[in-house]
Amino acid sequence: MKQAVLHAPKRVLVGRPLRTGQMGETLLPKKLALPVFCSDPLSSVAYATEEILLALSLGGLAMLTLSWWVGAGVVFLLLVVVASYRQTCHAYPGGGGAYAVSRANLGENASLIAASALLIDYVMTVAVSVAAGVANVVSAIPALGPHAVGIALSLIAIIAVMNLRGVKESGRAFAIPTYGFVASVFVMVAAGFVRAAFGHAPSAESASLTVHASHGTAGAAAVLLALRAFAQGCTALTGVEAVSNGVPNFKPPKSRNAATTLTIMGLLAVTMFGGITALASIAHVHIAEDPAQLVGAPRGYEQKTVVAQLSGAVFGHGSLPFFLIQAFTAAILVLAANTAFNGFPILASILGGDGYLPRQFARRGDRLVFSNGIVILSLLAGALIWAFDASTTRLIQLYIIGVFVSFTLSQSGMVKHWGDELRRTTDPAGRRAIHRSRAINLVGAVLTGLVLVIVLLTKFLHGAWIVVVTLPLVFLMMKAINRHYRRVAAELEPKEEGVPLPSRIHAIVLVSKLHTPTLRALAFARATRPSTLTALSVATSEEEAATLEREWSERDLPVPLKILDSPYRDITGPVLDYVGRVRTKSPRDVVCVFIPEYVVGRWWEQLLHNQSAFRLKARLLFRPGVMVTSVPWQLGSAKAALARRPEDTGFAARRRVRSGAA
Amino acid sequence: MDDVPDTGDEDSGSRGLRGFLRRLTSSKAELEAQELQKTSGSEGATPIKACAARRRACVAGTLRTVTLRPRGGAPALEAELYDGSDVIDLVWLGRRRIAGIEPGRLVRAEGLVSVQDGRKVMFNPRYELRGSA
Repeated sequence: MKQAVLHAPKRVLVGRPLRTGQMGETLLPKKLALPVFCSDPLSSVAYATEEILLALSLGGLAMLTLSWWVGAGVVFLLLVVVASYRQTCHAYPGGGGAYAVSRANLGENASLIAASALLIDYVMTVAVSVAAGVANVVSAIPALGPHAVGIALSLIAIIAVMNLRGVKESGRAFAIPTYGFVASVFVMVAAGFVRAAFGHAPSAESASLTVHASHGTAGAAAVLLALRAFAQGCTALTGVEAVSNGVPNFKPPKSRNAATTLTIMGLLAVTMFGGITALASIAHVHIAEDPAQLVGAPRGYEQKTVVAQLSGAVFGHGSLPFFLIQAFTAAILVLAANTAFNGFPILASILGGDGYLPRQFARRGDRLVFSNGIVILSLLAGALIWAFDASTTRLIQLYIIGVFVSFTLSQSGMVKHWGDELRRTTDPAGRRAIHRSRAINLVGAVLTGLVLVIVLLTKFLHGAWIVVVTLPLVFLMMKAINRHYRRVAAELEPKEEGVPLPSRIHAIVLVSKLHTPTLRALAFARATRPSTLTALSVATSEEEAATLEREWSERDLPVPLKILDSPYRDITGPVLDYVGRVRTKSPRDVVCVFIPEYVVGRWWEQLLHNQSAFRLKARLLFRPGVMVTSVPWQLGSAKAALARRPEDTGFAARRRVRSGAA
Repeated sequence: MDDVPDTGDEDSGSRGLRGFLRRLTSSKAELEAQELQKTSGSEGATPIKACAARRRACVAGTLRTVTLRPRGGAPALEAELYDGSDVIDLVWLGRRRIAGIEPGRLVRAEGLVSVQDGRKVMFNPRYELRGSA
């Protein structure tokens, strides 16, 4: 009954379970893979420009002219990383991205660092993008402000359920906002450029405001600010590795499709990011971290996001395109979390398969997705959102460190990979291609490594230290899990000589009262033909013992009944003690304890029965050489529950015919 | 019999938290053993641990288990006497039940000690019921 009640909502939410053979039907064509894997990098153009401007505005208006250069740096980096990851897709079609690459080329420790960095960053991606999306919603409807955390948590829950339904279905659901966002940003950028070309360039609502510098801009300070802006802009790169992690989810030819998707994503992201940054510069968008820095702002001036200001400037505030762009931006920001929902479970499943995470992560659920990974990811991200009050500005500081750690490691791994390939290849055309690939990956490794240092330096005090502390912890946890699995595996390895047959089996049937379940347990124990058979009872009171003794001799049972004294009235202790003494007779003897148990159909009945049996069983399981056999007795309520359960009705019907014989 | 708790030197080699915990958890069994040894001493009986095979001895303790043999085989009543130092099986041949021989009863028994399968056994002992333990 419990099952049926739980099943109905699950069926509604998640859908019908799929057979293993239907795996091929869940593979993704390119047009669906793009929204599934790329919503994160595409969405980050919605805030990457803003983050750059925010960091630069600390140095006042003059620094904003640098936004071109910072933007160009980010675009270049994005192109290099995309080019490098295209190589990974081809070289490692099994998925796993940074983890697989560094495992194959750099060894276990490097791969685990990459994996822990990625795991942390996936969690961060979910938290940051959902928080950012909610921030957009809240700025549209300020009344929702106090419920931001609640909204964010329910959004995470919705995305998790969508993903539990399966990769393909979530791709379909996420396609509209993703493509809508891409199309609307292109229309906006194009319209803005056309207007600029015809002489009346769009002007943002904040164009007239000046920004008061809160940081010095002399010499090194300016460089530092520019670097910080660059580090902030690098949020645009998160999620690139998701494609290379998810190569197995693509339709064949998998590697080629994945690489093509990656290219399309890179081109889209670069043009959108470049367009928005350029337009922001044309329209003179001025924003600041602290509204007090804005000079000349009217009282109660609410800073709008860069995208909102741009669309307002191009299409006019309150126009239909303005609202469309806002809606698509909010939607894609929330859906960006989806990229992590595809990356995290796959990575966790690979780690689980290799024994670095609990093995359950490697198991596919009803809909052929790695449900455990999805559930854990949503729980962790939810906890993070709750802890940080759904504040984007606080969360974003923890972001992208993990990504760049894994970028750097995977690129270095690829460089080594090509070096190894080079040694094996003799064909000159092939060698040229490998040299080219290696050069791409080398540039990628050096650049991402540099960016990692920059990001660490500029963000460390702003909260990035949390990641720097967490990363080794996750790393050590995975090492410990692996050590445990290895130790257990070594322990369980069958020895040369195998397992000896037990020389004798001493059966003990636990008796509390003489009733049908006890008699059945006795009958069953006798039928197993043990070497010795004893019925065991604990005398908690003299009257009970006397009654049992009398009934036992009246029934004339052919089994000796041992009654144990229990000076302290507990049942478990004397039984354990007795079992221990039987055991010591010979090392190869096995004691088999038969415990009659009630099976009940209602949860509250569970509280009324079996308490001492369960306690005893739990303790007996720790004893070496002791087997515990449950002899269940289905009470009437359990039989009724069995009949109510749809998937067990056949079994129930079959049993009902013979239930009288038991 | 290694299941008999050692009462003499329970804290030797078990200091620290672990030793403290062990003393806490096993205290019930040790408590019982101590009490029983005291009563068996006051009965003027030999500790079972000190009983040698093929000697007459007088032991006193509580009956830890009483076994009811099924009808059919040779009738015998079996009980296990525990005095805090060791256990001994008391077997009354030809009897199926003896009023008063029940678990928890304090008993004083006298007879010839023999050893079977490493267990001490006393056949047809003279016994006195000394009330409940």
